[in-house]
This record gives sequence, structure tokens and C-alpha cells, in this order.
Amino acid sequence: MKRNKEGKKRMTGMRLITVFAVIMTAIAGCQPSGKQEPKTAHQGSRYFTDPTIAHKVDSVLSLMTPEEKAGQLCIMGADYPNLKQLVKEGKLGGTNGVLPGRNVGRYTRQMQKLAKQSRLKIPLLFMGDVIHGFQTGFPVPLALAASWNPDLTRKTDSISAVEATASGVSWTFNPMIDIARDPRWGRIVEGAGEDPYLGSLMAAAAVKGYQGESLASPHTMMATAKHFVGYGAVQAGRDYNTVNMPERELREVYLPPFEAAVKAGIGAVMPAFVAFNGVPVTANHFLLQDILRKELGFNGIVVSDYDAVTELQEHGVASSAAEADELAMKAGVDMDLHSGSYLQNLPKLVKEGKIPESLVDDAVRKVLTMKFELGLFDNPFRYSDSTLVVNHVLPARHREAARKVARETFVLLKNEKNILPLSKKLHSIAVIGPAADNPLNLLGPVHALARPEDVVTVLQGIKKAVSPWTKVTYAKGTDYNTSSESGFPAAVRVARNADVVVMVLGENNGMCGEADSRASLQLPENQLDLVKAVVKTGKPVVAVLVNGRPLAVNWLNKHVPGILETWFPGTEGGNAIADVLFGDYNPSGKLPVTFPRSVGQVPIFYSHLNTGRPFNPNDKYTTRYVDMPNTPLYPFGYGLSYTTFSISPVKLNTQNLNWNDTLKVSVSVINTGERTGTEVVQLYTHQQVADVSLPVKQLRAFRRVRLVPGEVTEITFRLTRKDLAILDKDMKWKTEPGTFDVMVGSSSEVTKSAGFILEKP
Amino acid sequence: MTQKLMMLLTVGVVVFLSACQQPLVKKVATKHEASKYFNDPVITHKVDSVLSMMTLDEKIGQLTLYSSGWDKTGPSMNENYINDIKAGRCGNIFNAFSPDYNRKLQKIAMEQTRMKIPLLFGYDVIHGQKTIFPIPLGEAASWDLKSIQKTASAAAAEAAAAGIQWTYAPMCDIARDPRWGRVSEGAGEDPYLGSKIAAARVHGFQGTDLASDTTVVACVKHFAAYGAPEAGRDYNTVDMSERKLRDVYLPPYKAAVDAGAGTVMTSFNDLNGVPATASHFLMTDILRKEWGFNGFVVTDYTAINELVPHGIAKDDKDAAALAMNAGVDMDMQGGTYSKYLKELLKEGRVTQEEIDNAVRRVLRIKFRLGLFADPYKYFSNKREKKLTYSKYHMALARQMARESMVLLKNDKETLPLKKGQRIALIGPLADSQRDLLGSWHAAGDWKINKTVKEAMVEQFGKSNIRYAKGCDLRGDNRSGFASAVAVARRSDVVVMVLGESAEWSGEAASRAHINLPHIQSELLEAIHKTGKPVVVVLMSGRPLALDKEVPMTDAMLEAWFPGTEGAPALADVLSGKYNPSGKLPMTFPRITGQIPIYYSAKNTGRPYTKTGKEQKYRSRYLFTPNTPEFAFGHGLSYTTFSYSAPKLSTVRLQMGDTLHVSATITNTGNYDGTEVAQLYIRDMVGSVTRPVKELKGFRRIFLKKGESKTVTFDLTMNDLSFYRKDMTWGTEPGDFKVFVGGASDNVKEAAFTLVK
Repeated sequence: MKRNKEGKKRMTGMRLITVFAVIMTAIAGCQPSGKQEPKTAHQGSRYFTDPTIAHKVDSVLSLMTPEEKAGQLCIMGADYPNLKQLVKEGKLGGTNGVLPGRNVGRYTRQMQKLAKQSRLKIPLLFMGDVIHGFQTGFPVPLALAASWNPDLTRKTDSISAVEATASGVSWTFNPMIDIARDPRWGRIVEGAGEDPYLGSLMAAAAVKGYQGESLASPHTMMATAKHFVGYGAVQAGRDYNTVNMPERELREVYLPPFEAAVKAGIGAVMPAFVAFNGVPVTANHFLLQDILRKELGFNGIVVSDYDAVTELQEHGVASSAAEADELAMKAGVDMDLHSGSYLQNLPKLVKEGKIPESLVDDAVRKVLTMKFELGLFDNPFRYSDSTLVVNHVLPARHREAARKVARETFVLLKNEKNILPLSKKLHSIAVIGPAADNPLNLLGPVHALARPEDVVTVLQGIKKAVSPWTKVTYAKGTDYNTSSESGFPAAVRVARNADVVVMVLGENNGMCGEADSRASLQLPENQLDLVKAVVKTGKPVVAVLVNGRPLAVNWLNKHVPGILETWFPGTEGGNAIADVLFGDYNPSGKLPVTFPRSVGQVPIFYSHLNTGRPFNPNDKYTTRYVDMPNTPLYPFGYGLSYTTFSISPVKLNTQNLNWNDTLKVSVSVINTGERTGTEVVQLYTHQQVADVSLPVKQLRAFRRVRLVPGEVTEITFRLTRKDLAILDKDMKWKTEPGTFDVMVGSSSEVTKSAGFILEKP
Repeated sequence: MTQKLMMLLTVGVVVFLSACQQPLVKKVATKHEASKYFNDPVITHKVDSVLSMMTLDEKIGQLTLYSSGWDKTGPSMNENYINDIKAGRCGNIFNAFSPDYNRKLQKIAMEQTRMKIPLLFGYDVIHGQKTIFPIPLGEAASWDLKSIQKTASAAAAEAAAAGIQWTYAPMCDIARDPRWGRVSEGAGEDPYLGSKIAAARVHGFQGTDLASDTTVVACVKHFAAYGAPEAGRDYNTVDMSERKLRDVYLPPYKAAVDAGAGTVMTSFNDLNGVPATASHFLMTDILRKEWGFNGFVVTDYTAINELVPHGIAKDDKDAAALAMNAGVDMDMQGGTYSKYLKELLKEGRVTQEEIDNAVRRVLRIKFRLGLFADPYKYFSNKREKKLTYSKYHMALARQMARESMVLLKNDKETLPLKKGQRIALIGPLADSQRDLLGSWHAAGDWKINKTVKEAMVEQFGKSNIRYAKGCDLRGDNRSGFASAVAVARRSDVVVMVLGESAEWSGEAASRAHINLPHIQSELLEAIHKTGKPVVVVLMSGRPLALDKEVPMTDAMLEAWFPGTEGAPALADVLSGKYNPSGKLPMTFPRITGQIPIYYSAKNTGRPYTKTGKEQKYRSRYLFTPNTPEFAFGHGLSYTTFSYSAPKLSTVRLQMGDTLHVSATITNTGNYDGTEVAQLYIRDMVGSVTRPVKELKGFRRIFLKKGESKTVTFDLTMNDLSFYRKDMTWGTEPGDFKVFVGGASDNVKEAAFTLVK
């Protein structure tokens, strides 16, 4: 610590040389270790596990002034007034600059050059919101979850990393792994839906996708698990609103994906904007220290959300920015995103004795370690290489991946009388709706550098797919959200003249995502009116939905024979949609979140408790509404196929499972239809009696099976007592012996079940 | 048992009972003495004496409560239950409510049982026994604690005459989700107002002497947090942090217990995975240990058996053990204690001490009610006849109903109606008789109350009222629209009585949509198009979402379900005979999608303020404002009031001192009227986030036209206290704001600092 004080003094020539020597040594030493130990994943920050890195980090740290240290803990954007000056002064840890339209590669190179002019030449980190693609736009995360195929998340996120790192961006503020059970919340689109099991798989897959086997690779980037924790439970579904939940709900529902991400080796964690039970997460010692650090063992970087540190003042727990910094720092927030408040106040707070210097040092260590790990000390420009951009940004292979991934995310919600797939040889198809030929709004919110000019729209995709003699007509009909009906007559006209109408409806990028909560879950009224007008023509109508949240599409469900949920499908969305509409790909997506009939049912999710008075149609005094069924419009796990599957009764290897044994749950799945298709077979369990009330069912496993017509396959799931663990009355995870139901089916509304008893040990 | 011993026992009881003839309760218990009264050594001694003579079966009988049935001729009793009473296996009965019948049952207990322990008779006397007062949510809108206490005491008097000694009220559940049907039975969203009303109701029911033949013992329900079922669906699960539980939901129960309530009812819901009926944390740790509650805990209807579907008990026996271990004294209707306690005791799963303590608590209440002294004093045809629908009770019902009505909107002084105006009276509730009483109207007879139409004719004269129903409460039948429109056209002003059927709120009556049914909304639209001024009178058991309807009206009056004298009271208000003064005890959202919405929200880190340029990254919805349609505390008058800025006794308040906040209120309009002045505070910075406003005082003041009065509120340290970060209760020094005004969204403010 002595050396820190010296660091404040002006550098003599001699000392500068020493600095260089240390850094050069550090860099030189960095190379072999980076290669020898590719598997950083489970270790978190290598500072704690790798003495070589620790030594180097401490060497650099010892040279730093308090201001430089505070600077390392700050991330500021290009909008900060004297950003470049700060970089030159060595008072910035990193900058977030992924904005559409910017030449990111050039920007990161310029900034890194400035960093090289600083006293200690500590390289900058570049980070941004790389959420579902960088330049190749992939489906939104909620869509990826609908594939029930974690490999797709891993694949798309690894491609995102390849593209982003080519432009110098080596840190993404993703994945968002907030469980969300309120579709009003706009950010439900960025997560994996309502279920902790599916959500945990997706979270781990994303970490592996971004971070790969090693952060030392020039094609991988550090990921951030966000938003720790409970952000998805904002009151009344309104973004940033307060969050209240008991510790049980926290641990059972919201925490598991974070545990999975930490286990998968996530490099950074971002605290949520919200106040959790009265204490903003950014100042919440219980969550950030007791749970995240101590229980989950996370030792990477905790980076605040945008201005979240200074927002502690609005929350009413700090009366000044300095007080906010103190609270955040003490709670364990290593880096301050955007506000720059740490830079302004930390040196002073240390001087006044309000924050121990060791706290700041620990945070700086984590940041420096990350920079070492990413190889930035080794070569600050390793990620900012213009040749990489040419080879790795939106090449044909990424487009191909985008198309294949997108079609796996679509969920066939309704297909009356097999109206889908459509024949490519139809005489004429009318394509109608605000989302039909709108490239920008196929990309979805927060689409990084993905460009509308690269997007294949639905209209384009359909035109490419059909036979040369099929006439494809188009009318926009209406906008996303307007009171104008001026486009209706044209739409009705093209509908009248077509054999089939494809209506592409939904939300635009601005109707979901951050700060885009909605108090209603309907299609905007004008769109609904347009559908009504078109349906009136009597022509068969297929609705393609492009949106970022469950919508209460009751009217469509009642009056439109075919409904395909395509979320925001990304750059290749139009092609992928055409693939499915015309049967080149048989849809296999399943809903990762419940679709309610109405906002009045919210929150509604499959894994609810039974209550003391479960619904009974013959008894008034049971849990119900007087004006609406309890059941959702479409349940969790639901999704149709162009073929049909039949699942046999559930077979168990035993009805009395010994404590240490494995339960084998088998079903035969038959493709009883006429097309090859993939079914997602889902397994749920329910413990009938425990010392706390437990959900009526919980997803414990699923399997994707691809079957040709007539093909039969037997699937066997293996469950051990660990899969049956519950959080008991004393808040400890454990398995309780008892009676269980095990249910297998093609959605959460499973029909096949068997029972077994888990014997006492 | 030998015959000899049996005789000895009988002698003992007789001696004992004769000792009871003297008035048991010498002191009048006030709320301050409640706990002392609980622990009255004389009663304790007597209870122990009785207990010592009881067999285990008899003890268990005291912990058993069964329902009387009802058939065409009156109350009826399952023959098995009669046998149970005779055998001492059933010590308590509910839903029997006639002096003769209850006397008959009591006679069985007194003459045919070994121990001759009187039965306790309970009933859901929620807002009146026969004279029905407005639903509790409506009464809460009066913010008039004295009136609320009076109606509870009138209800108690009628009930006590009819053979009831125990009412299952007050419901003290804070509710912030208007989808939940039982918001109608509570006092709304606010813990401060809720606590005051809970205490007032307990005082009303219990009076100052439980042994009086005009009082009944209250039952605080539903403990706890029943008002927060997920998705507003009755009986659904409840999840909340302990902080929220203590900040918001517990205070009214606590206030009721502090006011001396003798019994508490468990709630149906689970709280964070543990059903309340099996929650040791709630029934023992909080209720008995923290709060010192010394009465008995009864379950809600079959709530012990329901531990099985809750999934924490494998059968009823298991459930009975869990409930007894949690601290639940009496089993309502489930019969689980009766069937299994004996076995459970043998198996060591419940203890003799648990059972004895439960019996003690029940006996103590029976003693306090004076039942041992005179088991028949509550069965009085004479008193029942005298009290039921008495002039005083009817006048009280009318006054309470008038006070409960909330004038939501009154453009261009559409109300009060002017003399001689031709009034079109339209709507499915305008001539409904049954709905006026609301849900849980006990023994109240809807056939005796007037409809709005009848009362309006009486008030305004037959020639001035033209009636058309227009439509049903719901459905698609528009055939009545045309005549309704025609009636409107022929009139000067239209009064539409719209809203909910009485059955759409109350228990098991949650709604996913809290708007007006579309048919009523369409009718309103048709009438609105006539261009006539439209007054909408709402009857509902919950806040409604009226974003579509409000712009189509000129005036709007929330009348809730106003009770036996509701219709004349409504006519009083519409005519201006009574100037409305009600204030909303619960926020009215614009649309269902805003739920939960309440005034005492947290600021968040990104509060949305409408000032300045549009801010995207703020806590808000895309197409719906954050603000409600009508805020908590809102309610207009025919006159207007103006408030001075609040004046504070100091801007630097020393820890331990009391702050005096005064404001001058002036009646600036053209009518005499009553205003409910409200005091709110905000703790600007805390160790945890604090609400943007919290009600800490209110005062009803009557002001003549042009008159000014200064009201002074005292803010004590207790008012500034909260559960701090470490869950200790207390204050934190720092800056506060104080607001005074006529609604939570219409206040004037001042600031002070609390200094160490």
C-alpha cells in the first residue's frame, strides 16, 4: 500500500522506465499462461487462482494513483464531455460505444491509441449491449428460448462474439437471465421466459457462447449476467419499478439462472436497477455479497447498470452522489457504468476514511485481471483488427446460421384444418400488415449494429419461396399503432383477390425492450381492426406474429385458422418465416412463457401452487375469476407441428425409488402424422406433500426428438433425488422423501403421468 | 368413571357455576386495559377450574365449531351435530341466528351435557345483522371513525339479540388488487386508515363490556395477508417479503388486536409457501409472542382440511397436527380436531399443554362474554324486535350511506340536481332491490329496502322521474337501448345507475377485468350521444377501471353497495340534501393493466415526471399514464375547499419531540360541507426506500359557506418510524416532507429535518 502513495507523486524518468519494465514483463508473462490454461470458465476471476496473473495485477496496481484507480472502475460513453482527455490521463477503465451507424472498429482503435498515451498505458475495455447478434441479427433471446435448444443460444452468442470482437468490443452486457412472469414488462423479450430450469440452461449456454473455452481467444468476449436479481418481477410490470418478494421466491425462481451463469464461468454480473424489498440492488449487501459472492462464489466483476449508482439518490437511500458511491462500493459494485461518479468521489471517500482503500484496490484488481485475461495487455489492438471485420462480420455462413436458428424459434400456435403449410403453387397470396415489409422491425429491440438494409422481410422471403407463377400482392394496411384506417380498403382489396392471406402483425422494436412496458397485452386496436376487416372477406387468413412478449390474441385465436409466433426473428427473418410457411421447415418451437387471455390474469404461469381451494367447476368457493377462466390462452411449453405426435403412457423402472437410485422415466413417442418433425418432450414433477407448498408441476427435463412419419422412439429420462430437491421450510435445498407425480407431455398441460415414492435414505 | 366421581364432578360444576352468577366483569375494559383484561386473574382462575374437570373429549369439543344449516322454515341442524353437542364434542356453533333456535341449542348444552359449558354462537355479521349498512369498503370511504364504530355497534346489538355472541369481522386485510372480490369487505389500500378503521370496528362490536347483551366478540380476519392473492384471484397464493408484510399488511390486524379483539381467524392463503393455518410464524411468533394476543385463533371454513390440497399435509390428521402445532385453537367446520386430536396426543404429535392452552383461550372468551353467568342472555325476541330496523338503526344506516358516497367528478356543477329538472333514470341497477345490500349481508332482507327508483320518486316527485332499464348488468341484449335513449331525450338530465351485481364481489368473486361490462359502457355511450348531461352513479364492491366511461360523463358518484337505507341516502346526495364528503380508500386505476397501483408507491431509481421533455428511460408504460383515474383520498364536494400551505411548529425537529402541522382550510364554494383533510409525509432518504407519500393523519371538518378553520395535526416519533434496514422499528434523522390536502394527489407541502 505504501507504493500507492508514491504513485501519487510525479513520475521521475527512472520510475517511468520501471513502470514500462513491469508492464512489459507482465505482458510477456501473460502469453504462455493464457495458452496453457484455456479453461478459465469455472474459476471466475483468475486473480484468485492464478498467482502469475495476481502478481502482474498487483505490480500494475502498485503503480497507480487513487485517481487512476477510480478511473479504472469507470465505464463512460462517447457522450461524456472530455472522454478523450480522461483516457489520455489514464482515468478510464473502458468505454461503451456500440451504437448503430458508428464504425466501431475505427472508434475502438482510436480510443486504444489514446490509452497508449496515458501514463501507465493500461488498455481500455470496450463493451456494449451485444444482445442477439452484432451485425448479423439473430432472433431475440425470448425467441431462442422458444427453441428449447440451448445449443442455438450458444451458437448465436458465439457468432456475436466473433463479430463484436472483430470490432474491438470484448465485453457484452448480456445475457439477460431475468425470469419474467409479467408480460407487461418490456424486457421480457431479452430473457428466456418464466421457467427457472429452462432459464438456467439458456443462461449457461449464453455464457459458453460468448466466452467460449477461453477469454484469451480473440474471438470470444466477456459476458455479463444481468440483472442481478429479481428485475423481472417489477411491480405492475412497469420497468424500473420496485420489486418485492420473499426470499423463498427469490431462491426458487429468480436466482437459479444466475447460479447457472456463475457455474458456467460468467465474467461479470450487473445488479438490477430496482429496489429489492426496499434496498436498491446496487446498494444491496445481502444480494451482492452474501448471495452473489459468498454463496454463489462469484469473484468476477460487478458492474452497475447505466447510472444506477447515482440513481440511489432517486431511490431515496443516498442524499448525494458521494454517498451513493459509498453505498455501492461497500455493497460490492466494482464498476460504475456511465455516471462517472466513482471517478469524482472515490479518491475523496478513501481519503476521508469512508471507504477502505483495500476495497477500491480489490475492485481494480478484478478489472485489471480481466484485461490480462482478455489479452489486452498483451496486445491492446488484438480485437480491433480491420481484417477480422471483413472476414467475420455478416459473412454468408452467419446469415445461413441466422436463418436456421430463426426457424427453430417459431411457435405454431394454431393450425386449424392444416391451413399451414401453404402450397408454393398457390395462384395468389396477399401479404398484409405493418410487419410484412418492415426490415427494421424484424430485428427487435437492442439489435446492436444489425442493419435494416441487410434484412430479408417477410414479403421478400415469401416472394423468393413461391413458384414463379404465384402472384404475391402486398398491402401494409395499417401502421403498428395508429388511429388511421386509411390503408384498410387497399388491404381488403388485395385480400379479396388472393387465395390466401398472410397477415404479419405485432409490435415494433419500440413497443418492447427496456423502458417499453405496456399496460395492455392486446394487439394495437388498429391492427386488430384490420384483421377483422380482412377476415370478413372470407379468405383464409394466416397470422404471423412479430412481437416481443406474450400477447392476448383471443380474437385471432377464435377467428383466424393459422397463427405462427415468430417473435423478432432477425436479419434472415423473412426467409426463415417463408421456410416455415411453405413447409420447408416444420416448426418445433414451444412457448417459454405463458400467453394469458387477458392482462387481468397476470401473473399467470404454469408452475403455480395448488392453493387450498383449487379450481373446481362445481364449487363456487374455489379459486377462480367470475368473468374469465383460470387457464391461459396458450400454456407454457405449448407449440404445434405440421405433423402430430403421440406420447405413450409413462413407464417407470420402479414405483419405489431408493434414496440413492436413479429413476428411469420412459415414454414412446410416435410421429403419427405425415411429415418429419421435431417434438420437444417435456418432463415435469410434483411432490404431493412437503413441509412447504410446492408448485403443481415443475419442469425437470426435456428432450428434442426428430421423427419421420410413422417412426417410434423411446425416450428415457433419468432422475435422481437431486433433481427433486426443494427449498424446505428452513430455506435449505434438500430432497424430502415422499410421493411424487411425474408427468410427460408435449406442453405443460401434460396428460400422461405416473407416480412413485422416494423412499427414506 | 365411577358414578361417584361423576357426581362429584357435577357438584363441582354447579358450585362453580353458581359462583359465576355474580357479574364476572367488574371493570369496564377500555382499549388501554385490554391486555390487563385478558389476564384477569379471576377469570384465569375460573378457566383453570373448569379445565381441570374436563375430559380430553370435552376439551376437544371446545375446540370444535360446526355450522348450522338453514332450510325453508329456518335454521336447521344436522342430527349428528346435535349429538355432538350433547356429547360435549361440539362447543361452538355458527350460522344459527334466531333467538328461539339458538336458545334450543343452548339448552341442549346446558341441560344435557356433563360439563354444562355454554355454546358460543358465531356468524358473519360483516356490515349489519338485519339493518344493513354500506359494505365495509364504502364505510371506509367515509373516513368517519365514529360513524363506523356506531354501525358496528348497531350490528352487534341486533346480532346479540338474535343469539349471536361472535362475529367474523372486521376483515382487516389491506388490499391493493381490485380484482380480488373481497376488497369490498375491507378498508382499502392504506395501513394507517386501515388500522384506524379496524380499531373502530372492534370497539364498535365489542363495546366496553363484552358481557353486555348488546355486544359481540370480534374476530380479526384473515390473518395474514389474504388481501394479496396472486393475480387478484381469491384463495390464490401470497408471496411477499417480510418487510412488505410488516410495512403494509400487518398494521391493521395489530391495531385490531391492540383494540382488544377477542379472536383472530386464519387466512386461507399460504404465505411464502406455508399456509397461514399451519404457520407458527404467524399464529405464535407474531400474533402471540410479539403482539401478546391472548384470545383464541379460529380457522377459516375448513382451512385445516385444506392443508391437504395446499400440499403440506398428507391427510386431515396430518393437517390437524400442523394447525395445532402452529397455534390454531379452533377448527371451523373441518372436524379434524374432533377426529384426530386424541390420536395425535397419544402419538405425541401434539401436546396436552397445546390442547389445554387452546381450551383455556376459548373458555376465557366464554367467560368474558358472560355466558357462564347467563347462557341465555343473548336470545331475546323482545330485544331483537325492538332493535331490528329500529328508527335509530335505520337513521344510522342512511347517514352512513350518505357519508360513504364519493363524488368522483362533477363538471359544470351538474350535481346536485336542480329542483324541477326532468330526470331520466336509466340503468340495470336503477330499480334493483337485491343488489343494494352487497355481499355478505347476513340476515339482511333485501325485500324491505327501496330501490333507487323508488327513493328518487319519493325525493323528486313522480312527475320528474322517467325510468328505463336500458340493459342488463351484462350480456349482449341491446333491445332496451332505444327506449332508454328516448327517455334521455325527453329529460333535462340523465342519472344512470351502473356497476356490478352484488355477487361480483365478495368471497370467491374475483374479476380479471375490473371495467364496466361492455353492454353498460355501450349504453352509456348511446346516452352520452344524446348530448344531455349525464350523471353516473356507480354501485360496485371494488374500484372500477373507467378510462372509457369518465369522459362520457358530466358527473360521477361512487355509491358502493349502500345497504338497507342506501337508496334514500343516494337521493339525499343527488338532491343536495346531503353534500357528499366521501374520499376514496382505494385507488381507482385507469385500466386493469395498471394493477397493483396505489398512492404510497416507491419513487424508484427512475421516477417518471411529466415535466420537461419526454423521458424514455423512466418507469412508465408506453401507452398508459402512470397516474390512476382517481387517486386515493380523492372525493369532491358540492362546495370547494382551499388549503393554506402547512405551517410547522419547527423545521428542525428534535428526536423525541412532536411536530405540530397546521393548515387553514376555507370553504370557498356555495354550500356548507364537510372536508376530510389529509396529512401525508415522505421520508426523503432512508436506509431503505420509503414511499413517496404515507398517510399519517386525517380530520373531518365541517365548514359553513365562507368559513375557515385551522386544523392541527401532531406528528409523533411513532409516525416517523418504520422498519429500518435491519428490521428494527424506529426513526432515522434526515429530511422529511409534510403534505396536507384534500386528496393524495392534491396537497400542499412543507419540509422539516429530524435531527439527532
